[in-house]
Amino acid sequence: MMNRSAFCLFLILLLSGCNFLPTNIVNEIDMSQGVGYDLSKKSNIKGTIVFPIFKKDKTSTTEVRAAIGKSSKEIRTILNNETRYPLVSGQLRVALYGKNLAKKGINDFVDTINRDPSIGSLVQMAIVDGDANQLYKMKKFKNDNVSVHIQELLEQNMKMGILPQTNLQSFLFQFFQIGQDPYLPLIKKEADNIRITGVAIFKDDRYVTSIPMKDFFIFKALVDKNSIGLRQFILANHDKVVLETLKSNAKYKVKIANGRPEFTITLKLKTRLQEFAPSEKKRQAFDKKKYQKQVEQEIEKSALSMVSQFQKHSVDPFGLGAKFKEQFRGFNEKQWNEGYPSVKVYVHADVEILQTGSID
Amino acid sequence: MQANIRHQVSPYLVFFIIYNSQVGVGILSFQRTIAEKAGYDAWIGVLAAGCLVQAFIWVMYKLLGKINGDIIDVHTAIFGNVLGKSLSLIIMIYYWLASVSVLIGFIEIVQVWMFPTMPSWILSTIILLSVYYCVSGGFRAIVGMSFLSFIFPQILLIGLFIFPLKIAHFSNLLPIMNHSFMDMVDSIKSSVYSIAGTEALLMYYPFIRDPKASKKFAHLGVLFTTILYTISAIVSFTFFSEKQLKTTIWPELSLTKTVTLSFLERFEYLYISMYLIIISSLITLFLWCSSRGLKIIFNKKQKYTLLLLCLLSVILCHLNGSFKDMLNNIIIQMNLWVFYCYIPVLLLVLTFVKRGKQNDE
Repeated sequence: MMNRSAFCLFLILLLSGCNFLPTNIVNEIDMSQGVGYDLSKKSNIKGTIVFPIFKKDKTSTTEVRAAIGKSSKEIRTILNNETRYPLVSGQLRVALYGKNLAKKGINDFVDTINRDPSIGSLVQMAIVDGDANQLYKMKKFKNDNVSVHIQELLEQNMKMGILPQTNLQSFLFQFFQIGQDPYLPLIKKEADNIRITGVAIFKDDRYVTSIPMKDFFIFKALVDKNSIGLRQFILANHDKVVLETLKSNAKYKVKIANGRPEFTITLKLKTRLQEFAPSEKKRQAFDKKKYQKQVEQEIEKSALSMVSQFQKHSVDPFGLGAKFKEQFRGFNEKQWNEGYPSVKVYVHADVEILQTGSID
Repeated sequence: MQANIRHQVSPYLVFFIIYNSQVGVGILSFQRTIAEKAGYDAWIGVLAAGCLVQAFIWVMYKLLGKINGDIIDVHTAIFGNVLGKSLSLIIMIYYWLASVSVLIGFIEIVQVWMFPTMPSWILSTIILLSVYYCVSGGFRAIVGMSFLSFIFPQILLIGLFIFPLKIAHFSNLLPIMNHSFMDMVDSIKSSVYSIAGTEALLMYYPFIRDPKASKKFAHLGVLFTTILYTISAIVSFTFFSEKQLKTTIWPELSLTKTVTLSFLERFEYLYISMYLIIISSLITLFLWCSSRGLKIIFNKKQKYTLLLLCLLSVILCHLNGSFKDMLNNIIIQMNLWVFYCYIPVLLLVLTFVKRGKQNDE
């Protein structure tokens, strides 16, 4: 008995005192919270890493470092030469890619984030209209944590606003899905602020086109399961109607004739009226039926123009190809890609205005 | 030959032993292997494999019930002492190799996800020390471990699926049955290997107090693990797109990367650590089977055979590398031929050829 307890004691001492476990003590590492990649000269990449510095009895500051190299980890190695503590990536929150780099393809830089097991899959990704480095370096955020700011900016807009849900996992899902192309938010440094300006649409991993903010509402309703958001409709005789979605549901129907698909997208929106400004400056009761019809036409029109914009660039963020593949056993990827720009897509909107607020 | 009643366990505990023997590192990565050829229809293969395992359980109970002993008794009864024992030796080696492959698989996960620089021999020594301690506690201690491995991580395992299901794309599974028959057979084959492990019953059968009553619990156990594996496959299939899944080595661990709790940002570290309970109880069970078999075959004390197996395991773990794939291959082949072909044949032989001899006794 004595023997055994002595053995156990020995084990406990061995395990607690052992040095072979690598330790990461929080104030002895530099946790990179944001990374950014921009195209530099001579096909080099300018990488930016943002990490906070915590000081005793002082507000923490953010440190922005940049280096030029060929690969993401090379940049990190170069940057490690100038930081006080080792750089670790487990706390990564945002990855930004410059627009010029995104036009050439970002796969090489997504790969490293995907590969590293210490990085979670809820990392936010965004394309910067301009320079990611410049955005991180904004003076305003010197004492504020810029990467957390961007992360929360994006997340709050995805949750409550009209930005479609994206993160690393959704990007990878769409990137690898046959018959679908990924999309990411597009942000821009404007004067002294960071703004979301659009949604960047990709072909494989290359940035191709973007949709402006006014189309977010419909785009989100078409790609997300349940979207909420606000949109203003200026109708035929300049009546202004602002609707907020309470519930949305997009159904994709595929009709196959001779192996060629035809899509009908039925978009059901349950909304409530937020603002109503009729063109005649006279107070009048809200005519639900009339405006529902007009709003439906407006939505159908802009959805169709969005679809034709995608077809022109042969990008498929709605995943029409994937939906076709689900319904059609003889799916051929090459044939689909060739036929995609001329595929017929119909949009049918079904808007219901449930509430008009406390007045009618 | 039944074991002493002091070492026996209640029939219902067989449910937990079966569960324990089937769930190992396989569940973290099988989604990718089964989808290799059959794509997203592979979850049907898992269900089919579950049916096969049910049949296998029935065969084992029939076989062992005739002799009322373990596989070594069966072999000696049919083939005599020398040939029977050498055939049993092959099965014991299989148990040992299976435990080593689980150990190597887990060590790889720990090295990739948690401690990249940690040498294998340290991890294997630490795990095997606790395994040795457990096995020396006897069969009842091992069943206790099985029970714990069910209670603790299992609740988490199922609860975890809520997070990925929030963003699941169920339409990924369509169109159903879009693969050829041979592709489906391939997915069944790899699923059978993933949910293998019930063969340990061949050794612990004499330790069940009322084997007849335990039969239904064994079937229930297999049913439970089959459903667990199927759900796990479906959750991963709806969470990843097909090409993405094929690039992911441990889909289930990548799934847990999306779990974020307000007090715990990265769940997978906790998950891997919790997995140690599952892994060590599985290794315990298989090493117990193997060391007990060797004890009977060579008439040595179980302490020494166990020690020898542990030492050999540490050495094998240290030598891994290209060796790992070879080991997995050997186990897959052995599992298929020894358990799904040889054991049913053995039952036939026992039923028809040896009937006369049985009556004599």
